[in-house]
Amino acid sequence: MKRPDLYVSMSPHVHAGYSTRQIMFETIIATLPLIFAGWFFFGWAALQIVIVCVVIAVITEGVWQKATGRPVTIADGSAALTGILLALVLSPDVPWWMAALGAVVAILVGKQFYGGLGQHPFNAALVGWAFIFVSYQAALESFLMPEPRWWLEAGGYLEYPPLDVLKLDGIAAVADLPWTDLIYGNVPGTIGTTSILAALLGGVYLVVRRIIDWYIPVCFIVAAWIFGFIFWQIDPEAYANPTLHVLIGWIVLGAFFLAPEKGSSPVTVQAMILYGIGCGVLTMIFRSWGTFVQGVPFAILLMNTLTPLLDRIRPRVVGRVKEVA
Amino acid sequence: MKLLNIKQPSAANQASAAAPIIAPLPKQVVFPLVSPWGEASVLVRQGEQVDAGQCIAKGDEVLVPPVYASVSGTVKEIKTWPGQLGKDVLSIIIETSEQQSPPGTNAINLEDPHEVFRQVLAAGIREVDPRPWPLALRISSPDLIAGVLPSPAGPLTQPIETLIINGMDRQPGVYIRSATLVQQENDLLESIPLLQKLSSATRSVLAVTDVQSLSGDFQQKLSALGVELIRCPNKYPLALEPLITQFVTKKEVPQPANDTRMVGAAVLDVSVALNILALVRTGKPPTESIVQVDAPSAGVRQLVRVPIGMLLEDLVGNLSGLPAKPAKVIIGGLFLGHAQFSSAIPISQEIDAVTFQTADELHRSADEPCFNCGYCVRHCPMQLLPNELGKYCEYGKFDDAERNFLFHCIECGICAYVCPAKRPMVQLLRFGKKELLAMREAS
Repeated sequence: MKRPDLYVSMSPHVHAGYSTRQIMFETIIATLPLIFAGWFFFGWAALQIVIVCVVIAVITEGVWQKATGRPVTIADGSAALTGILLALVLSPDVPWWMAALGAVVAILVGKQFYGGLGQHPFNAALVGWAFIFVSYQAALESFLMPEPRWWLEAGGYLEYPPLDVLKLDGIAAVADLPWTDLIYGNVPGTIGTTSILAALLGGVYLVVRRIIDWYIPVCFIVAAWIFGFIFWQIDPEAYANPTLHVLIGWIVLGAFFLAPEKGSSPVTVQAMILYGIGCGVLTMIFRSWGTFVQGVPFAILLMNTLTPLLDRIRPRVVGRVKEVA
Repeated sequence: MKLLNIKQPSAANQASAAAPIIAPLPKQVVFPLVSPWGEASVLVRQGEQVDAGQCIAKGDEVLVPPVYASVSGTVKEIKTWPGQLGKDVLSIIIETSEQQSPPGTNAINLEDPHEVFRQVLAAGIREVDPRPWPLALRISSPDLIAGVLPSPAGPLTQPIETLIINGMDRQPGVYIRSATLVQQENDLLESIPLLQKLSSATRSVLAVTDVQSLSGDFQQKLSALGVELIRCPNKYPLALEPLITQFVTKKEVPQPANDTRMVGAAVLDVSVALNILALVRTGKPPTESIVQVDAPSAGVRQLVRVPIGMLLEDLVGNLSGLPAKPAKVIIGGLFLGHAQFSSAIPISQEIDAVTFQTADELHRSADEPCFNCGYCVRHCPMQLLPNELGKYCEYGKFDDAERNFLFHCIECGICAYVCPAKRPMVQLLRFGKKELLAMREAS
């Protein structure tokens, strides 16, 4: 039989044209406003942490993949993204070696031990954060005062992140805090969690570019707000204004960047909605009655464990009719 | 950077495409004998003279469609020949003679639906989409079927409520149905009463896309015939049979049977309706079919009227402007088509389009891991979880795949199209289906 030199493959013979790499790089682009905000308020220290985390994360992934004989996939940008996200949830005041250690743990324990990209049950950046949090708690309680490069006056109302103040000193301590400072991120805190404006900018970019769907972020924020609103209505003396809770840091970054991370979040619409609601409610529970100051990272890590279960909630398959049982 | 904007690719509206050019008569034509319902047995001997329209192979059962010569000539050989699904199949090769017999003129008595039904059944008209039943059985009322089949299968005893004439193109890039619809609108109008009579449907529908251009005159005549014109969103894969049926009747077609008769609907596309009309006009089964030839890189878009059984390489030789060395030859469009090993395959009635790709246009799937982005899940028209099914099939967990409705997959290819990891989803799922069927057979 005559066999011309033809390629043969299964349909479809055309592709929409995006790649894992592109998704990762677009997400990295979305983090740029946050990195900028970190530099704008906390100076070069913030940028140094970001660079350390990215470099160490990429090196760790490359070395590990080389050592285990797997294809080296550092070019897909996922390790760099994990590094950036880890840096964004660290205080700009942490020593560089601690950030580096966190990046190593995030990549190895958070991702590679489970089999790499897409296989990890937990958000890798938060695994790195949790490692630093339990190991060097004191270091995570040291923060820089915001010193905006230009235009804004330094927000000097608080010496600690507003969430810590709210938790430790009560509502009265944050009552006078100007909300514009919260929105700009002109308060002490971690590199990427303080500026709501930057997180929203990046988040909207992600949603508009369809890198993530809106279900998880919107359900996260709305659920947190409603839950907070209910308790604020019950007792405004004991529980803070829900809008303050949303603006006080972490929630917007968590909703747009940490919770919808591809590998560790559900894929069906119903599951995503429940996942978002779960994240929001757990955040408020941890914040209101938990031992730790932080709610968002623990809420996301906990909901990550529920992802396989949530993914069992699936749409009804078309054409599933009794007659064909 | 290209915009990351996941839309279902729209079917092209090429209603104004130029009328088909006519391919010259080839030296030889080839007729494969296989059909999804069995192989027809040969009625002719090597060296025998055959006339255009003569039956050259016939099935032992009613279900197996007979095969007709499309040209006059001599039977050269009966041997295996490359088929469009990548396998060699038993085929009859006919050498064309100089003298062609004139087309038939024995019109069929249209008054008797039984007669029309018998003729349509005997004509063995094949369709592009894979179907559970041969055309005549799918679109005819139980009364007519009962006259031929002593004990028809369950779905065939159900009356047809809705007759859907599908004027939507199967997949993006292929425009043959929408173009034929415009080019032969009067013929289509003429065929509709015939189809209504065959199916005894209470509701007849012409489904077109919302961008299809139709003349006002045509629309008036349609409604005079009692045909509802339904404009559907111009989105792939809505034109595929189970989905268009669900869109029109609001009833889900049971899977994996994929049989629209179970919900009382009969779907046929515009080209087939015109084939039936040609049959009743001439009394002979169709000898020609229209094929779209596409070479996006060379800017070739052409409808060609070819004798059934013409070899692809002969057709290519007759057209100018095609890439000299195509990297891939695809029978069908970019989403549903089959890539070919050989350009010696015959163009049968099942083929509606041929696409040529150069090396630059090839899509190569990669071996990257799935990272659960969920794009496939949000785009699957059957609401399956292709990510999970793909992994099950990849790692040999076929039972799990079956439990998660692997056989509901209609292989539209959307999951592979959107997959950022470029996983070969359709290949994985087909592999799983094949293994499961083999296992069932073995047990």
